[in-house]
Amino acid sequence: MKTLLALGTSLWLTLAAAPAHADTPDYLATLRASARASHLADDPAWADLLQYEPYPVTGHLRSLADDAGFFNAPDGARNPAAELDATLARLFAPARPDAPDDHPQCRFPARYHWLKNRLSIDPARLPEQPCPRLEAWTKEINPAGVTLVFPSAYVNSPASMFGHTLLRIDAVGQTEATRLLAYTINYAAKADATDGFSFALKGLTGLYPGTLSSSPYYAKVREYSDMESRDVWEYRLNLTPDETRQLLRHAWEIGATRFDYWFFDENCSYMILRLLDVARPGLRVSQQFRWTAIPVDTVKGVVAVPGLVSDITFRPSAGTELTHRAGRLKAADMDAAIAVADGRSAPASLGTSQTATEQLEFADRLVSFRGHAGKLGQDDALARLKAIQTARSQLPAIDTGTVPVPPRPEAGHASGRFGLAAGHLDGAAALFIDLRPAYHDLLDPETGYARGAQIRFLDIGASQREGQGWQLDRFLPVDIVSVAPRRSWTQPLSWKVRFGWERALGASRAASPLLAGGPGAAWEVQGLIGYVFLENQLLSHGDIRGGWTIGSGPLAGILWDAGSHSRLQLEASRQWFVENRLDRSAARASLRTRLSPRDNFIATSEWTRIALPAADHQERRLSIGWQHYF
Amino acid sequence: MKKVLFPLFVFLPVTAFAAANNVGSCGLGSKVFEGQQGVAPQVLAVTTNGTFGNQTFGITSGTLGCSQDGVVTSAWKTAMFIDGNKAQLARDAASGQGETLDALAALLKIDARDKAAFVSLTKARHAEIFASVDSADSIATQLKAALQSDSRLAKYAEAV
Repeated sequence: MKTLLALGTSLWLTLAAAPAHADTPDYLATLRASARASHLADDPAWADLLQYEPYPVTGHLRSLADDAGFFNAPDGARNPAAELDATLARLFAPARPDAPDDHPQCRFPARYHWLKNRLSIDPARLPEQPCPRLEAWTKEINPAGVTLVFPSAYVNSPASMFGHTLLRIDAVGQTEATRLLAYTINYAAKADATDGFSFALKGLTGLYPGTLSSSPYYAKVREYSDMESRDVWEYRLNLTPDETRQLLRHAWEIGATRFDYWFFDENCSYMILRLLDVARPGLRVSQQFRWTAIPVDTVKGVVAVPGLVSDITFRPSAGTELTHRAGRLKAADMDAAIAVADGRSAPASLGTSQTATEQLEFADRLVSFRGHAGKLGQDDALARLKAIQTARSQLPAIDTGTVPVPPRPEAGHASGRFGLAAGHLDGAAALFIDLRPAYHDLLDPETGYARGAQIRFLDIGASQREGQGWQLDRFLPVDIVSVAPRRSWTQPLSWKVRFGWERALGASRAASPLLAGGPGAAWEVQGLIGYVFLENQLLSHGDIRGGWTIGSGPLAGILWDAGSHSRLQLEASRQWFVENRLDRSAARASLRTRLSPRDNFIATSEWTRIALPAADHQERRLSIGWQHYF
Repeated sequence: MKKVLFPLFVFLPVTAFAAANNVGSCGLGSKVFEGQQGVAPQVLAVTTNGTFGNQTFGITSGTLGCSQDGVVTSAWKTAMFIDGNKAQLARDAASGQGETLDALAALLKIDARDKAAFVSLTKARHAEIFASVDSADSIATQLKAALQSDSRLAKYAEAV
């Protein structure tokens, strides 16, 4: 018995001693020498793994990770070579039976995996550590490949046009029936503020930490398709299972690492691209988006990599599905279906025909749509759904056709736009330049963008009149218009808001601060959109008594597509101000014709009459020019 | 004949996830209707993409409720799926087709040859299974009972 115990003890001692190999220092030195000889620290793949990026001017590397725990060397955030040496040393750390996943091999599995391959590390001399949590996680996800998911804009929310991207990790043996069960990898700001303004400010200025999170795909589909009614595009990538596993390892090591979230560059889409870069060394698709990473632009970047995207799927939102279903019903049948959704008539009153089945399915979707939009209380909505579905469940399944697939987001114009124009301004010859870094306005070609949605960021315009210097016409950090047509089954509120600097007092006075916006309504008849707004303004200018004033008045306009290449916009407005010498009427006509995917011809005529200064003052602007998307 | 085999299973404490586990700790109970309402959140929320909704887990966050490091613990997969898709499931079951119904059948490991029977069952027994659409617990209990009462599908009841 004693002998057995002694034998057991010595065996245990041998095993416990095993990780501290006699040749550890030698082997570490060998690996370091080998890494140096092959310049591993300068390999772009190492830079990707450590999230290094060169400083704009000096070119020195620094990591985007704002967290010392992400590095093994004290100066690891700035020194790739030191970080590589320190990482190699830490891979030899003794086993951690108490907390195996805290071992550096498990803490930095993507780095370890890459070094193991590149240095052909011998597991007999650098023992492999078990990582039970990482293994359980990977096993549950069961990765086979990756799909890039892009939820596009939702109707009546131009701000959402900016978009978002996330990854779906497709499982081994996944079918259409089970893809809802796959997991997603999502990068988002971990926001805490409840008031909207600090929320936005912190998001723009990097004060929120960005966090990688995971959720089942169905949770994301419900969020985008139902709650927000955004169409979703799924781009299946040709990443191999091995590459996908490396992506997961990298997601794991980023885990709870702090990265500051910046809305324009270090955002969701940028992190997604960086994950792809690590999955496939040499891809380096993130490098095109060093300055800004607008989600839809990153989708274009991914699609542009030859062979990377293998399949594209469109997932219509609840609203798109409703529009499709509405198109299948005659006006009278639609009214009857709406009456059921309103609770004005009983589901059974529709009968049992195939049309009745379609009406019931339409009413069901309409009730849900209203529930999500907050137009119907939860209890009422649930009671109506129950009645409708009970009736529906007694009728056979039917074919309701497929929702037409719209043009893909990457088919849209590039989001930056530059314009040059010449013409007349206030009686003198003039030149005009415009720059709009992002994103889309009502006159731009609509392909790939949401209809009736405008969002302009940092829009800037200047003009030069004959004999005078350049003058700022406008600088608008944000300018949003949502023209959402009303239909028999939905009556959305259109709205607009903009703030910045405009020459609100006419061409002869300098641009001054303003905040404007208001509610509206829109209708669509055979492709022609008509809209009205109540526009309210808060103006500030040195020439105004008291420094500022407010005004209000109606605005009406139409948008009309003349063929597939041209669009015409007409607007007329009237504003009354508290200081009534500022009262004005204005009319504007703009015609845009697409010359090529990147170029437009643009003609604008504008007429404004301001009561200022004392007598009637009229001002005309006429311009013809060219716009280029970049 | 077979439809009256097990008529009263509803009264048994059969839910896999209400009786045996603490539902609250799991983050179940997602709202049926949720959405962006009003203009201000739409304008402002976009700057962060910070929608931290139900069933979103931090990677390497350890064990939390019924998730482990960002994936749903296997015992909870069906419960979480039902909770996250209550309204959609009710709709798909009523119309006898749809993606969530297919996914549920896959989660319950329903054989291809039993799939049609499963679809008919959730359609025919819609009123009882979805008696309370806002409660995942009730849907699961009723679904389990309905499966048990069907001689062909009874073998799948355990999986709920």
